[in-house]
Amino acid sequence: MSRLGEIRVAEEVLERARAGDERARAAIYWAVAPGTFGLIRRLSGNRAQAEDLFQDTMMALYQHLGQFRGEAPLGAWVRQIAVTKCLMYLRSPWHRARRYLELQSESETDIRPLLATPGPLAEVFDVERALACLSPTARAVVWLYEVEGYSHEEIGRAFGRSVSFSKSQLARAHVRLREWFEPSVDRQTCTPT
Amino acid sequence: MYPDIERSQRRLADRLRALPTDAQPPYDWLEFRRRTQMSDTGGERRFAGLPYMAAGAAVLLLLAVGSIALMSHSRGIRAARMTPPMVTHSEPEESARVADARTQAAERWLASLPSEPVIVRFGTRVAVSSLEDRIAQVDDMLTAANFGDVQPARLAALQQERGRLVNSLAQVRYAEALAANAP
Repeated sequence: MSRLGEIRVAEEVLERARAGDERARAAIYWAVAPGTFGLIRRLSGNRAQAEDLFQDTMMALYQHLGQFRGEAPLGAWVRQIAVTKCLMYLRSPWHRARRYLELQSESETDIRPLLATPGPLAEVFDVERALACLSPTARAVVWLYEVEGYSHEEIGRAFGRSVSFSKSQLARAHVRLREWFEPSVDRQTCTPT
Repeated sequence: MYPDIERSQRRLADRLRALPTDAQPPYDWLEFRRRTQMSDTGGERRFAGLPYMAAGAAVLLLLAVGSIALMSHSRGIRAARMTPPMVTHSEPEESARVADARTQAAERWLASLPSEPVIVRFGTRVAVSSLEDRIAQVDDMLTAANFGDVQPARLAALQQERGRLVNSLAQVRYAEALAANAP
């Protein structure tokens, strides 16, 4: 399993795809689609929206394939498109309104994640649940920084915010995740002794 | 500087990196191509003149219906809580029957639609799902009201509210269908 940003496609396939060759286009689709959809699902946190964003991203890929210069792997280019689409969605008024309503109903029930799922995939489920409990912005920052390898500068630029925004979002998300995974850790240890 | 925290952050990062990054795409290449072609055709048609206006009108209609639904929902719920029995009792039974029949017809028409149109836009999807959520919410309230000791006026107000929401949903889906099939 290779990360989306590292997926490369042969120049010859790209040339044929640019010329409209159906098989080359399908090959590109199958090369990048799983990683792209996986990333979009992580960042959007909602399957229905992820499907729409995936469709938009893949359409943009084929529409702008002629502009891809091949300086970086194709996967990194597609990842950039997907991240931009997702962040646009996270900033949209629709999403903000929806999130506001969700927060209201969440505060009524105050659901906290139940960790320590029994079974062989326990670790994966627990991390998934902890991630899902972060706010969409914090989740996107954590994922882009820790997994996709974005720098704080890149994240700040992608969100249209400052470097400090990225750093503070990441720090707060880390505190929350640590509280879930290591509840015994005393937060007082964050202050110098 | 804080070795414990750094260690803990590294562990967290390792956990995150161990998560699967790939996910099965929602559809295969053929389906993607079909959706893209439909969307492209839609795009070309939109720039042809008249259909462009139809799509614009559909969007306006969606916005209007959405805002009306939102307003009527909050007003309806408030009315369901506060309306005295006299208000609903004054309504003639005939008009209630007509409204009920209209709601049922709208529900039948909605049931005949595919659950998800092929091309879905954020705005439409959000409006539809929020209306569906509200209908489910009113259904829950109706169920609770049917089992409890509730004033008939409140029950009627809830039913009225449900009818309004179903009709709004039907209008949104109709506008959606018009926009998708614009010549």
